Amino acid sequence: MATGWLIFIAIVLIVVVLFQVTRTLDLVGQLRGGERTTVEMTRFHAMLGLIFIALGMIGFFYSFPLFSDRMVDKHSSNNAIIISKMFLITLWVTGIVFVITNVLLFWFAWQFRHRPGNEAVHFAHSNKLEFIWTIVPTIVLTGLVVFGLQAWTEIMGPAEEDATVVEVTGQQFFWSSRYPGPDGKLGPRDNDLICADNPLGIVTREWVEHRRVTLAGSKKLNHVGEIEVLQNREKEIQELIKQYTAIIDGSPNKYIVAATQDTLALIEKELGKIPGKITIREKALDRINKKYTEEYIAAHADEFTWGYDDPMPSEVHVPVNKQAYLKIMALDVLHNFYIPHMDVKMDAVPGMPTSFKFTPLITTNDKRQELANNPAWSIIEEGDDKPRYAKFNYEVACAELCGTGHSAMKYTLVVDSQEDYDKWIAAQASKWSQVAGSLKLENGFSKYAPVPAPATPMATTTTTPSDTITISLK
Amino acid sequence: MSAETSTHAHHVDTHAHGHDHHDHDHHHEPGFIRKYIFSEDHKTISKQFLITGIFWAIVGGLLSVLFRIQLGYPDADLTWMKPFLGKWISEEGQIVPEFYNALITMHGTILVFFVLTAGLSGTFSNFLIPLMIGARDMASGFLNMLSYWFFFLAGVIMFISFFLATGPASGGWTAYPPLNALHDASQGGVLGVDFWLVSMAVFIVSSLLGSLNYITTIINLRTKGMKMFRMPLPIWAFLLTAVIGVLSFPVLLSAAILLLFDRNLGTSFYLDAINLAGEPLANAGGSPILYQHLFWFLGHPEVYIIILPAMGMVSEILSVHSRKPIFGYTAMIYSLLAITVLSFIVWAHHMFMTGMNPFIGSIFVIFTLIIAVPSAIKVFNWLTTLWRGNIRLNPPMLFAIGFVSLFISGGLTGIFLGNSSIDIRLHDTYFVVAHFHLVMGVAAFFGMFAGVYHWFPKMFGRYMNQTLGYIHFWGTIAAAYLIFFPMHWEIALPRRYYTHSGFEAFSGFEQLNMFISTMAIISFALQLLFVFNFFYSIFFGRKVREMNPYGATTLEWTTPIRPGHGNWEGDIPEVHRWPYDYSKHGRDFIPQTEPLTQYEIEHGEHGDEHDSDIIKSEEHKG
Ligand code: HEM
Ligand SMILES: [Cu+2]
Ligand SMILES: [Cu+2]
Repeated sequence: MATGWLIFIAIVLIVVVLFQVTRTLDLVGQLRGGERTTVEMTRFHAMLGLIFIALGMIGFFYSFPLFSDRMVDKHSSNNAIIISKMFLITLWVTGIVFVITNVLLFWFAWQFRHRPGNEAVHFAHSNKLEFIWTIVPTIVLTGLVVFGLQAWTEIMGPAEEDATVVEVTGQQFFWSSRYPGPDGKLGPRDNDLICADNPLGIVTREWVEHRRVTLAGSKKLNHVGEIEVLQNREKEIQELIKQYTAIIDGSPNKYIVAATQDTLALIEKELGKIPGKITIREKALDRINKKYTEEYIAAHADEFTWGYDDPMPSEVHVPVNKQAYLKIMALDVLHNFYIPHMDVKMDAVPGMPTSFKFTPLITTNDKRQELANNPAWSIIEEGDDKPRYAKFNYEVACAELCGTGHSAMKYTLVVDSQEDYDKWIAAQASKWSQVAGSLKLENGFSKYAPVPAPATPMATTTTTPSDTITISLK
Repeated sequence: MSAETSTHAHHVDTHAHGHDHHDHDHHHEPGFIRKYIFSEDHKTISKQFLITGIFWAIVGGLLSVLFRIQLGYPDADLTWMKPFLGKWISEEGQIVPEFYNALITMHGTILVFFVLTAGLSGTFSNFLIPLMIGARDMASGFLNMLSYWFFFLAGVIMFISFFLATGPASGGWTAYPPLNALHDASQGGVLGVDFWLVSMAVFIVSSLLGSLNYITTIINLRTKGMKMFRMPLPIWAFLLTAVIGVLSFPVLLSAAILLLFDRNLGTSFYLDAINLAGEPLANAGGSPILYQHLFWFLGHPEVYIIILPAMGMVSEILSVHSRKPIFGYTAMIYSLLAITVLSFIVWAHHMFMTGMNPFIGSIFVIFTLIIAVPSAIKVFNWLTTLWRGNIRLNPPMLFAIGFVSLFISGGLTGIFLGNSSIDIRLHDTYFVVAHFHLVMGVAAFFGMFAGVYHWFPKMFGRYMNQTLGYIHFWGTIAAAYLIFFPMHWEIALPRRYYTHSGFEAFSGFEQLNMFISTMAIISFALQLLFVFNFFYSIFFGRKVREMNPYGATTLEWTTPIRPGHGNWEGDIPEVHRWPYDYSKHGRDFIPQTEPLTQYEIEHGEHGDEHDSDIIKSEEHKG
């Protein structure tokens, strides 16, 4: 502590001394006459300007190569190649302007500094010059726009017919994915059907039924619906409020009173929200009953089967050299499906499906081989058995602020060779057809969860609706 | 456009009329409260804006120091901050993620709105408009005072939100819904966002009152002879800034109010199909993207609200200290006009990756890159202003030159971002952060510093300490470049990340981040040097003894050294020429108040051969 104070005092003293020095410098300058000081000061700082810009440019050219592979040398997807090219062109154009204008700026400050014998010239404008520097940037920028828009249309244009379709969904704070399955069709989704067992709200006959039961309950299946759970909780809280109030009124211990008041406030808040929650569920149930009538299901019989075979693996796989088409969704707030290596980036917007396409050009395995040549990747880190490159994976991140866990929304992309991919997707399909099968048991209703999950309490959705399915499959 | 309209707007403020306006011993001296607190004098209000702006700059800067510690020194033990920050510091002594998000949110909000909008425009529009156009005060001193006090109130509300149990807003300075529309999606969303929105609404009222006043004053109260095309460039900049503000801030107000409704009245302007952590919400039919359109309809013009005043002041300062007319005065005005108009049709370049129709994106690419043209014109004109000048490098001039450098460096990266295809790679990464900090953040600060150092003698009748000013300049420009230039290399890193350590793809930047953070802390410390110099010099600085210490042509230097309420003691001077007659006809400068001689042709009246006597001076030399 004492040394802390000593250091503090020392710093204060140094600052005071330095300040006195600057004051003296100022005063001396004044005494010696403003003009002479101005000339000297101007010379000194113009010189500093030259040094500054020289060092700055050296720093620029020195540090650029250190990181340039991060900036332009991307080649893992067609997008990356197109964008790297655009980036490089723009880098050259702007780089030249950057160097010339910045150097001129500080050089002029030196060259035309105030000194005896130097006179300013009354040069107020020149149509010719101004014309030149209107027209030249216009032409250059037009060029950039033309190239840029070509690249843009290429990347954002419609997807190919046979592209690999993957649906990805973001929510706080994880990604999930879904594939069309052997029938090649993604089953439709409906937010009203979302529940812990069906986190994406996939529409099939069973899921509709399932949601009816989880909302309204069923005597036959001995299941209490969410609506009833909430109503019970409402009554329970009203009971509790009476008890707590009695404690508060009666207890002589002020700590107990304070603690009880806190709890009371909490449950009162909870109570306030319950009617809203009940209404939302009643309306959802109403919509479900109105929409999914037997006639409706019969009329859309096809669509109702699409969802059966949709695999929902825990990472995204795509085959190499073939276009991948991402359908991007969000359940709660904005997210952004970002694959740094592939130059894939697209917002996930609740209520508004978006899409993005890319063609991966290097498989995960090949990328690992590529990295094996890089010394930084060949090291074996402490506590690891394999070198870094062997563990390399293309990563997916979130690039739109979505709350506390934003920086933790990691997901994995695996680029397979075509054979590997075919194997993988086949395995996924068979896994998930089992799930679908178990779903269809008992005449379209297999308990509540499609897999024997440890009796998930349906009550007040405290658990994250994520992993019921995926985890239990592993 | 010949601006005959100006002329006789010879408004005389009632309580200024005919009195002797010497320093302190005025017999109508208002009481302390009317003079320093609820003052209607534009000069006092300007100082109120400035000092409040400095306060907020320190707060906003401190916040950035905190989150830079998290980014650069994630393992640092901050347990010692626990007494001040409580639960925002974890048991292990780290900043918690929610607090990190609150820090970046408040940092952005405070610096963009409170410092670089109110602090900058509020200070200099207020101070310079009446002094430079020859008016005794603003059109409405009362509204002007209200403008400041609304700003103050907005600040109070924002400040209180720091002390909420659930913390201040934490969803980014752009406050996108649904994150910011829901009470349960983040802690800051519980109550902080409501404070944020109310504060912004009050702030917008302040800004509108100010802007309307600036516009009215400039249009109506110019002294005799002060045609529009004889106005100094800062005045043009302030005028257009105010116009942008009046047209765009109301849109943000609507956006904010609708968001308040969505939050508290159950409307669904911005919300649709939401299931938050398993809990379905009732909202349906709205669009989160709508908010972004409304926000950026202000948001993009806002960045020009921030930079135009700086551009105007820098133009003036470069000219005065080069002893040369600003090059291309009319081009400077038309480029300002072009920027003003274009700034309203580029907003969606912030939204290329929102799933917007790519064709619409293309249109915005075109407009966005067009806006680079007037920006380029300005840069070349500034450079040419220095060319063959007689440059005095004092602190204001250095900051003005620094501004140009930063504006170039940051503006050029805009050309990457504006091209939507490249923006796929760059959107929401540190490249964007580097871009806007150079071009807007630091550049606007440099404009502000240039202005403060330059007009301090007029504001307080004393000089700031030059040597400290020099140290401040070199330290700040070096630190600014060392912070934000290498940040471009972090192109892969997504912004608004509490930590990048979970990702292999984002690794390898630990040392760079540490370096940047160190520089950020140093640069914050350097700013305290300025703050000290500023307050010290107000009371103890060397006294100004000449009316026109820089040999400038503009009207503010014809007022007494410490002008009283009403600015000029006798009649307001009349203007006879443009403000940039430097080094003309062998004279160092010719004040605006000096009538044209018989054979003299005013600048801009008859094309360039006539008013540019470069040729003559060439002969003269040879
Ligand atoms: C040469 C002209 C400029 C162009 C073409 C340009 C382009 C862009 C683009 C496209 C973005 C969005 C990047 C993204 O989020 O993906 C952006 C961001 C930004 N620009 Fe510029 N810009 C230019 C000049 C300026 C100027 C002069 C300022 C301010 C004075 C400015 C301030 C900003 C700010 C504040 C942001 C980031 C806002 C945010 O997301 O938080 N830009 N710029
Ligand atoms: Cu996120
Ligand atoms: Cu913009």
